[in-house]
Amino acid sequence: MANDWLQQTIELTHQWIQQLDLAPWLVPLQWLLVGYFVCLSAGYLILNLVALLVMRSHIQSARTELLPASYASFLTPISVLVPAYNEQETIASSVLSLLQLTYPEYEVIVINDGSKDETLQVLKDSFALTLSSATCPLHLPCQQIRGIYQSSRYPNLKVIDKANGGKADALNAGVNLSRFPLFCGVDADSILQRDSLLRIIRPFLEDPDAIAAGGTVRIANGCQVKDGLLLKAALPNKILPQLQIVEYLRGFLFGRLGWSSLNALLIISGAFGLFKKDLVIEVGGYRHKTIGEDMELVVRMHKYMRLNKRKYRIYFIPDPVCWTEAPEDLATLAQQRVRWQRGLLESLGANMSLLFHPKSGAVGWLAFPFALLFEAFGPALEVLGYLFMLFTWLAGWLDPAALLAFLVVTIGFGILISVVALVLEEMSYPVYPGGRSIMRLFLMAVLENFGYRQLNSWWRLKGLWLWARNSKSSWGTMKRSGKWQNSK
Amino acid sequence: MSDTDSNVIVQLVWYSSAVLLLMTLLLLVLTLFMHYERRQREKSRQQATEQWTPILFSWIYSPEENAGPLPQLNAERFGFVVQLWLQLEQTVRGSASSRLAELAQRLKLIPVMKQWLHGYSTDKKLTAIMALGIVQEKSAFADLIPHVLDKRTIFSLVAARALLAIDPKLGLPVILSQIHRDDWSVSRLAGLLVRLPHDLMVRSISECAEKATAKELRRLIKLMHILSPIDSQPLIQQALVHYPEEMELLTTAFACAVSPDLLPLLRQQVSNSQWEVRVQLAKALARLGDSSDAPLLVKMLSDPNWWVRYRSAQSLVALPGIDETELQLWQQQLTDPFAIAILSQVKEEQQRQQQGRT
Repeated sequence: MANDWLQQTIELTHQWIQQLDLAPWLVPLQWLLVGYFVCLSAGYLILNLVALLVMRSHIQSARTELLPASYASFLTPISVLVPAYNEQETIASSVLSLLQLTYPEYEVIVINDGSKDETLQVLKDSFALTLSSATCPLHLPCQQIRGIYQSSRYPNLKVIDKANGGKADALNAGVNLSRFPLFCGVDADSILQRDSLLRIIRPFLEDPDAIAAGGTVRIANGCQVKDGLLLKAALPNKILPQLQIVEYLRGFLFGRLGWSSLNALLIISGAFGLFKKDLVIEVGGYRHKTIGEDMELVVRMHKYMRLNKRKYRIYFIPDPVCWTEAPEDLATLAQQRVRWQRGLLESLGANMSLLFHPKSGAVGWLAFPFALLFEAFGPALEVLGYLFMLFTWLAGWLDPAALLAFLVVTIGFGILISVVALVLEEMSYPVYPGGRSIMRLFLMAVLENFGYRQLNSWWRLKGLWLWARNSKSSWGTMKRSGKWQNSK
Repeated sequence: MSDTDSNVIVQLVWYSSAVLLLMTLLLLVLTLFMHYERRQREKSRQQATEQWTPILFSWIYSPEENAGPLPQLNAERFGFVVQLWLQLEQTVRGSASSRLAELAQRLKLIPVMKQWLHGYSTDKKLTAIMALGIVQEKSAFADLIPHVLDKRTIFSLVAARALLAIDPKLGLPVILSQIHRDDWSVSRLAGLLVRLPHDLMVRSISECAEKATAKELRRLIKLMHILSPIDSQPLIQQALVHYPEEMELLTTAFACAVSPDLLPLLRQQVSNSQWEVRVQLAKALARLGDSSDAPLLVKMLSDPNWWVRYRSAQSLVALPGIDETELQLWQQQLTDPFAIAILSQVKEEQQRQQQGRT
């Protein structure tokens, strides 16, 4: 009965499409989609190759993973900035982990951005905060500061309580209060490894032109964490976070590493990034009213340095430095991906003058167009591709053998680049123990092509739509389980 | 497009799929192989640590037991052992350190470190600089000088420490020639120089100051002030005489002045065109001056700049030898409304502070 109905619907649609006379449009559209796939694949292949080469030299030049303790007294002090908005569940353990980092001289500044929950009270209780008479210069604009607190238990911990102004505004307030020449923005919900700062400082030690550096963010779901410190890395049991692990590996290990080697890295994750403070102040700090403040700042720094013909370098290090909780349900994941897509579009939109600017180098001529075409507007083309296939199938124009061949090559390429990411992980700093973990991640690399990838395209298209409609942006609320904190 | 063309394209796509599949499988096998290799390497490192940690300790405590041959080392294990040696070196002093240096000789560390010094690996270079400094290898002195001039802060500072360890007399002028470097914090530099013989340190800094620019002189004054405050006074005198218009230098000089002998020169700056200098003068007078400086401070109460008036008032209130009666006399003589207001404000603040204390 249902089959008859389906057969009739297909037949009717077939007849209707035949009447539309769309044939003249279909061939160009088909070539557009094939061309898009070929260019995207070629871009990813080149990035993979570059990443493999860079990783090899990185490993050779940094065979000993950490700097011997004896260099410690020569390391530049760092201000760690932690913007927090409604983070009462995780803030105490996050700050505690930050206070236990292995680094000779650093301060932790938590910025409570007008939280509506008990974030400030949790901080006051956990760290014995007292109101301080300290003031801070207004290098960068920010909302009104209600108070600056100093921990009487930890001399290097300060808390700024300020009116709500968004993450960018909170970070600007933190930059204003910071004392040291380098600052590191850290998400309140993420945890660092003890040696994260020692790892991320490396580009600044090796290159006087370094102005910013980012590291690899890993997923903490499934890991053993106690008192804000990572005890043991392990894969989560749920499929959704496992799929995201493969995605993160791909995004960080070949995406960012490849672009970094061309000095065209457009994003340093807000979850963990080290910046030269003077330069951030010079470019005007974090931009308000944007979701992707981390990416926007990096793109703006590129623009500023390139257009002013100043020598600089923005680095990405493959070392795992920061761990964050990945969404475990589809609704939260959808929300996150929509937000990321809008952030990407806002960042590119705000710095459009960089695109094909004569002075913009690899950033304006390679990375920016790549991001615009394949990441910003890519979802629209991908969804168009799926619709095209459905349409031609309904019209009876699609040869099932051809459809199968194209599906296999698309999926095969997707799996291949995920496996390259696994190779890069194994070459650099593998964190998941045992060959079984590798096989599980390989399985996820195959599985993600059947539903997850398509869902992602849909969410990103939604982000594109919301950006085009210019709807209001905000911090966004992430549903967190916080289960990985203090897990046994 | 003809059916034949389509068939060819589909065939090509199938071939591409097959290649992709093959590459994927090969890469998967490679990943598993690398995983196995890494585990083997970790084991080897662990074994090297277990084997060599007792040997290193035994060299420190009972070197006579180590006359025999040392275990064979391949290139990989050599790297681990050098790191262990360096880590241990950082924690020992005196004879223990000398014994570790003897072990370095037995391991033929110096020629390898010299090779590493000219290699490309950052870690190996840094390790080599440190190791050559620790063993005080005189033949490496010239090779280390370019590293002090390196733009990378960590290289320059680690090399500076090595030079000082090898030959402080020759090394110090090289290091002081880089005093202009903003990435070298003065306090860190002071940390490097603090163990040097006092005479050598004072003589070298003073010689360097003779040819210094205003910026260099400012950093030298700060450096000398940390190491030996009284020896920074001639440098301050030099700054006041040769650079009366350099605001940053003068403010540093005033802040570091500890000798009343400098007062005649300091007082001359009362009409300096830059208010920042006059502020520091007011503060220095409170620290070094006496009641004879009261008229000068009273005059500064009428300064066009609020900060100068404020600091002058604070200094006048804190000036040794000026009691409440004398202060009131000065206050009565004031005619400038700004001077009257600022002195009253500071006196009130002082009273509030005293009440707060009681």
